[in-house]
Amino acid sequence: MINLTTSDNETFTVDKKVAEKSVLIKNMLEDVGESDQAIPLPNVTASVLKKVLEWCEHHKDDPAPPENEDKDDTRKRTTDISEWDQKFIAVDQEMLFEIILAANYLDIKALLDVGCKTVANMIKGKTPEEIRKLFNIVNDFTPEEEAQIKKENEWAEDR
Amino acid sequence: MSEGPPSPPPPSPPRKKARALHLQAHGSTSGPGLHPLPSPSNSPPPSVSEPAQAESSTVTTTYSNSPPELPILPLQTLMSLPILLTQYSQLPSPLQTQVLLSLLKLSPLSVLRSADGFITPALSRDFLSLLPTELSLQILQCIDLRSLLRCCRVCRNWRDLIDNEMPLWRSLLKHYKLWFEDPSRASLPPSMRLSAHQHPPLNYPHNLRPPHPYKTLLRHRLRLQQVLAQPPSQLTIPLPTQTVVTCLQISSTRIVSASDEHTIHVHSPLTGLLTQTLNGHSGGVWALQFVHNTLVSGSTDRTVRVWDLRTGLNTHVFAGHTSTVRCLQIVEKGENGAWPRRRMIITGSRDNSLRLWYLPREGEAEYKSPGTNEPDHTDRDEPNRNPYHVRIFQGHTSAVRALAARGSTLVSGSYDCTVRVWDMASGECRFVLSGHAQKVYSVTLDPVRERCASGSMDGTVRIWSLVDGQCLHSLSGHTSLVGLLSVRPTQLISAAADSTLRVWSPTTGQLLHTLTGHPAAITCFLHDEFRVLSGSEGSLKMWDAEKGEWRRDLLTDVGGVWQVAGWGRRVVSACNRGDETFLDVFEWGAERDEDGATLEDDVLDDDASEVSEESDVHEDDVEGEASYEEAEDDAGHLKRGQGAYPPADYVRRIARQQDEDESMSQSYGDAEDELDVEEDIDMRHEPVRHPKALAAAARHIDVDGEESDEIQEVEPWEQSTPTPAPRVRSFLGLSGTGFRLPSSTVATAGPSSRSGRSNDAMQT
Repeated sequence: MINLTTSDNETFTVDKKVAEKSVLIKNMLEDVGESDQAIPLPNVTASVLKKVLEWCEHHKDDPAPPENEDKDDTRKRTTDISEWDQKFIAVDQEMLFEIILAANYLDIKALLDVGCKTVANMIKGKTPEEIRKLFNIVNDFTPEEEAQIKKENEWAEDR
Repeated sequence: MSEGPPSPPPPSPPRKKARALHLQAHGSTSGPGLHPLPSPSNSPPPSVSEPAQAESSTVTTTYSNSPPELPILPLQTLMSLPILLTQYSQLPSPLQTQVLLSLLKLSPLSVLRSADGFITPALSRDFLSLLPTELSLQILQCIDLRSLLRCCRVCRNWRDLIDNEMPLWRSLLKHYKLWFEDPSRASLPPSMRLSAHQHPPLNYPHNLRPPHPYKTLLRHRLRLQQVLAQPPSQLTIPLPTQTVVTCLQISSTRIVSASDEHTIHVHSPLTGLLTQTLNGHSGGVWALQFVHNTLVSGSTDRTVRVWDLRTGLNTHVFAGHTSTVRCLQIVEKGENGAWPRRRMIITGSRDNSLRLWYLPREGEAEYKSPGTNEPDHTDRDEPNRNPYHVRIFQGHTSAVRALAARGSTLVSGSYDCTVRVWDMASGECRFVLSGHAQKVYSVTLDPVRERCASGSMDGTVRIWSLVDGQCLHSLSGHTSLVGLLSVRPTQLISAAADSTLRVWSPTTGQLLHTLTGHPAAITCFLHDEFRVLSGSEGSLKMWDAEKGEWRRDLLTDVGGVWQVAGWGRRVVSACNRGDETFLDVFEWGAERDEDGATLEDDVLDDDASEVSEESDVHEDDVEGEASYEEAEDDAGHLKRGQGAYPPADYVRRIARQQDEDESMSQSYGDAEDELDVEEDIDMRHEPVRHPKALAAAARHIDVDGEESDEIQEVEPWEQSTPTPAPRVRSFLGLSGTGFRLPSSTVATAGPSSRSGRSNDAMQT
């Protein structure tokens, strides 16, 4: 069993297999070796870690994802989020945001993927105004700029 | 319930925050996997009140609440509010949750609704702006193009993020299969070059940066792909000449054509009107290229002339070559400050040499070599006095037929059967590439792979390494003269007198496609990632470049198609119909409906505004403009000249093409050229190696029976070109125009180039 301490000083005790879904933790364990000492996770709060661990628990037996895929350069399909993951990730934006950050920090690629795809799915198919509303964003273009930008982006409507 | 605290009207600012925080806490405590809150906007009221009910039982007892409506209470409540808030803020958060929930529970729907108005935004996150960029990119990679474009319109942050994200647009280009290795190196119009990013057009909103050029490129290519599937519109312009068109170049505002007469014509591609006539050369013009407002032409009169296209004036005349200037190219500024620091002109001549000149900038001092109007103006010292002359490249032992230049690398192909690779900066000849068994007619540079290719009368194409001068591949298949060559990131295309075009892999030299269908030698072709246009006797055909399939005939029932030039949506060709010569401007996606048309044109035309008439000076002066890895390939200049066809190949091709009809050039211009004459004679004694060519010639004779005598005198390979007959015809048609007639007619007839000579002497 592994002990993890969050930024708000809560300690979680989890199965090693679950903890090692995080490449960060896995590498730490490899470097330091196992000990009773809790691993500090200063970038994650308890509420978020709880969520993340819930995901890790469910996916602990998944095969390791294929390595070194050039993520910058590949287009992804967003529909392929498993049902369990969809349910899991159905949280408020703040929590989703924190999960994405935590997954990135803990280096849990598959979870990060789920998070990013979820955000993408929230954006897809919406008008600019709907997007603004959804994410509480202010339109900060001047009318002149807006005209230019509209012109620049009115294509591929049939794509 | 007795105390004032649960007053419904919320004093806004501090509370907003408190509530927001609470809900958040609540959200995270109430069972993770089961909490459906994907789209917060509408759901909260019910879901908030329900849990509130569950938990509020304890709360109600603790605080023994007061009835909601008391007449005098509001004032008291307000008075006590500060204390309440202080107390509240000091509670531990689980308690705060309880307090707040109990308050909410007591609130009517309208209050809940306004509460929701605070809570939802407080819980929303602007993911793209707040996440680290690499994570935002990961999100963006999951979004379809259409949604992505909408995202650009959301706010400044999003737009800046998306529009500047090179990998994103590159991946989209790849996704749509519109990425052709290194598009940068392909010839691109200004707005699609990386420099467009740094130098927005003048009318651009000043607080914005233009999108990444890859985005513009994607837009352009998607649109182009779409419109190319349709038939183009066609504008036919009669040319005030009846001879063969030797050179052709088109930009968004100009079509420049030259013929074996001495005049260069400028037409508007939009109206078809003749806008300028450039007079000055005293011989046929066989090579030209323009960039912005500067046109350079080379002629059988041995001069190189520079013209200002705004005024139509001949500003510079460079003498030095002692025979016809057969090919020329404007060399763009080097990348990253590399040589050359300014645009140059490289010219190749039948005098076996090449010469390098500075391209005069707009408004730079005029210079006219003296004595060029006199018949024998061979002052060998003249170039030394010309401030624009840089150096001469000597080494070829016969006429220089084709050249290709980029940066400081110059490749020249000659009738001496060799290709030479030169360093223009030093003048040094780096390699002499030997291997062709006969005259070299075409060369092209492949900077992506550091190679060059050459086409020869021996029917082969050779690919050479620019690194060590080795011949990497010898491509065989053509059965006669390979007069035209063009390389693109994914394809090397050769066109031959055997009436076929062949598409090769520029990497492996593998034959990918053979385009067959023309009845006679290919006289001209144009090639981009989407299509190949090829001209031959009777037709101009369009092919799918990738699949190697015929698409449509753009011209049928015409005589020879001499030239084809263009880029993107607009292409121009020159052909004969009967005794007359015409330009045909083809435009794809030209349907115009009030508003829509302008937009589409913007994309396809690459925004003509970007190539303002002044831009030449501007660009020339911007240091490092040419400096990015991409975009400025050998062809750069042409595009710059207003989105014209990317012409590296094109110009070279023009130069090459001309000779495809060697007989012409010799008869028209070079009859005085001792060397050439001898060459011709030699050639005529050559064994007939081109049975197909003969067949073609035979066909020709059938058609133009009355000229058959003359034609039979011509070299076999010449006959294979579709040109001789119409040429003669047009020539005869020309008789009114004067003294050139006899020489050319005779020369076309073949053996009597010598008689043409006296004539030429007269002209020069």
